[in-house]
Amino acid sequence: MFKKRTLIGLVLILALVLVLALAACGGDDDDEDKTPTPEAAAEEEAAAEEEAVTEEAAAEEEAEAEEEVAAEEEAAEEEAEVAEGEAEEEVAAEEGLTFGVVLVGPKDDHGWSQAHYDAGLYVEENLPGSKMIALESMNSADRPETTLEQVAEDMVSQGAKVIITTSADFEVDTAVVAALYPDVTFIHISGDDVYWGIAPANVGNIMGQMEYGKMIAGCAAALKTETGSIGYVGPLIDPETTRLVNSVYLGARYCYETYREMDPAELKFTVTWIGFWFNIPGVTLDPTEVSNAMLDDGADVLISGIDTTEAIVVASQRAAEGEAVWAIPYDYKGACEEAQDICLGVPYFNWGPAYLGALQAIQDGTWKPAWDWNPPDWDDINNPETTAVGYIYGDGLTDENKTTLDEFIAALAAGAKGEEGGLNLFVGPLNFQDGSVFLEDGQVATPAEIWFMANNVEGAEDPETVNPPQLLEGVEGASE
Amino acid sequence: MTTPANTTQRPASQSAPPGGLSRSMIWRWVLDMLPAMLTPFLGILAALVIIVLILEWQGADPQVAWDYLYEGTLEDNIRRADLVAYWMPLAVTSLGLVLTYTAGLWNIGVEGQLIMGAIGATWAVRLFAESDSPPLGLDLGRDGVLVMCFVFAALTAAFWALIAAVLKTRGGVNEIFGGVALNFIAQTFNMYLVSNGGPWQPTGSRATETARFPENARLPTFQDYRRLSPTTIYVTVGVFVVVVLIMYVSKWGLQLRAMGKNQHSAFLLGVRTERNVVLSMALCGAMAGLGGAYRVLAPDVSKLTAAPSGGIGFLAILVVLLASMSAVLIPFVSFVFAVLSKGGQRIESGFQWDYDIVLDRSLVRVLQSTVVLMVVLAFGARNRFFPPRSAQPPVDDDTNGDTNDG
Repeated sequence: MFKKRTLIGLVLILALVLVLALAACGGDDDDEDKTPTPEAAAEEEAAAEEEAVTEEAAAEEEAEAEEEVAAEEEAAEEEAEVAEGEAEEEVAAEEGLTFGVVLVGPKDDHGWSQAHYDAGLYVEENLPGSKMIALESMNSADRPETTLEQVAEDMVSQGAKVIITTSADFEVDTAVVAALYPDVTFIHISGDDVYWGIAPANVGNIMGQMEYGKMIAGCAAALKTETGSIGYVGPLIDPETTRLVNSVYLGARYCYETYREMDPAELKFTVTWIGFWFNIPGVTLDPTEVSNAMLDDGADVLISGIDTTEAIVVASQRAAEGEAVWAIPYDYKGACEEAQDICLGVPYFNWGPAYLGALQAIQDGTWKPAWDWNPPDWDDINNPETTAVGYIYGDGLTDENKTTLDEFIAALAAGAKGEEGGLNLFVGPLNFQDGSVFLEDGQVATPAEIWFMANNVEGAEDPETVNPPQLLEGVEGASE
Repeated sequence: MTTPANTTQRPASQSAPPGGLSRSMIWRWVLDMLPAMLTPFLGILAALVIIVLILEWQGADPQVAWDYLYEGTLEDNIRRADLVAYWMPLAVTSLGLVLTYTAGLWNIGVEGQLIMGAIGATWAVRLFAESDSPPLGLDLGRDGVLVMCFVFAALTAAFWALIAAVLKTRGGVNEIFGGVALNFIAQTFNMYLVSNGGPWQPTGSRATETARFPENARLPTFQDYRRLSPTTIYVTVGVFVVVVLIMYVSKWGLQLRAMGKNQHSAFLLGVRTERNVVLSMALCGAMAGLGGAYRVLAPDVSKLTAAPSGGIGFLAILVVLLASMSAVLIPFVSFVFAVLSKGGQRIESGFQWDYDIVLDRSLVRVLQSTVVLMVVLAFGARNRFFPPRSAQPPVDDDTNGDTNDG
């Protein structure tokens, strides 16, 4: 039916498209040299390479010429900067350390990713000559067009000697990509591949002991709740998130009993997992809806375990409508600023010192792969130069609350230092949700038992034999 | 002009004397086509102007942005290979959509079909490659496993599309609503599989994804470009040929066009519309499923992630609209979109890394949407000021003109 004529027509269309593409590109852009002809370039690599060669030559000449001009005339400097941008960058890379930071969420999320981004800025300030190159929102939903491997390649070609991958989601890929770039050091945040000895030699792990921050958060919630019901907006279920929920619960239970003198069995503590570290519409539960539902169910304190700030935003809206509700955000030092009045404080990560230490060691050539699980600075948990995690009080706390929390923190500090009369909450008897025993009466959890929230981790040789993590008995919500 | 009239004209054109293609006729034809062909480029030009304004407003030099776009996509062979690797799933999905959109079916569900394809391919990997003793008692070797991956991907995705089709033909549910619901279910099902200790998430893993596929489920790659597989290119070219044959040679393609013009009239004229709805949806689903298989089998992915599609299905819808459902234009338009996606990311990181200028990370989507908006607007303007030839006395080539109506 569609004969010769149509076919010739089709060929003509193709030819026209090509011609017009050339015309459109050439017409729109002044720089004839750099004008790519997309289709042609893709198909005729040889030609394109030639082009690239002449282009380089031209660019070099241009740069040289402009350098002379710049030397003569300061006014021309701005233009020269553009042309020399790359050259300068290379010089900078030779002088100082360039490090890449791959963020799973937006760098201004007032949560997890911003805490990492700020730590990168802290390093830039404190390690002379260092330069951060960051890529935000690196996850399969937001950046379908690339992968960690391609990002790493970009960063390495930009001169990065270190790449910090800041999400549990990069755990597998970091190990795979690190093997491709043995000369680049990879720091995977929150992972435990080094603990198991299954990571390539150029991979290290860093995490902060957020358990303490979460215990303080739980305590603050318990001091404040009137309905005896606390809601926790959780991300996804894994050993990290499970141990953090359990830490909150232990802190809340302890303070409810000790300072409020009420029966901890009557404290209602509910977790809802949204399914990922932050909201991805259509993929996860909507944390805004989850938060509202928890308040509707009678909770009056929301604790956030996700990377972003929905819990405090919702609580603040509900408080504006006259409800007595409070919130405790997470991750980022400034997270209370969303709604100071109803904020009971924020447990936050202070990655700066750990970043700086690792990068300094890499620059000096003294770095060794390690599984670093860094404690707070117990002398001052909010010292930005030294602490790994901290807790900043919010305006929702009364002075009396703050005094009580100070007391609680001091007890935790004593316990962590092993002093007499110190408080350690991970002591038996503690049972899991399914009734199995986590810790026998009087048994003190080892760091690995806390990290994995499993009772058979000591002596295990690979991660697959460790029991899946479980919430503690008394916590309402899914363990798997 | 209605398609039945077209069909009656065909024999006439067929019986035209051979050698009727004189130079003047070609020239006239070119002149006729000129507004149609120029339209998209005017649209793109308008989009470029807007983009330049946005960049200026953000304090970024458009010239530098252009260089980054080039650098991130076409400057060296490795970038080109990565670009092609991203282009292939987009192209194959868009090609599938040509079949449904031509028939007037708004297959919004293509995103879910792509995801189901990804799940299907992963399922095949688990069945035929991962266990020591394959449950079906087969040892297929790498080629066999990969063939099964593509077959499973096509079948599961076609099945997903069939649900939408049957909902439409039998349940009276518009394919748009059915598609939206099925997209959601597919994505949720995908999340269930790989998160919160789901059945496909390895024990002890903290990443929201399956384990990496074993060696015998890895696509072969080019020696110098370890992230690009020739297999995806061959399969896509094959799909392209099939779709072009359907659209420009087969009778069935003509039926789909007729349905697109007016499904009821087509039915009255003897087109089995219900069967064609089901068939075109299933075929489109199968092709989107192949796209899903490319996504999970890509050598630098090689696993089912939390969001295997990440909106490529929706992007493919824009591609098809922009290409006016013309199969021959799909490779070009999808290529442009692939360049915008990958280059947009380089623009963003380039300005941030070299100049400390932070562009909004949604810039890429703004770029793409601006292009679509402007091109569609240009089509509107053309239809207003240069009505398509089909509204004028019959000219044989108006079928091509029609496909560009948008």
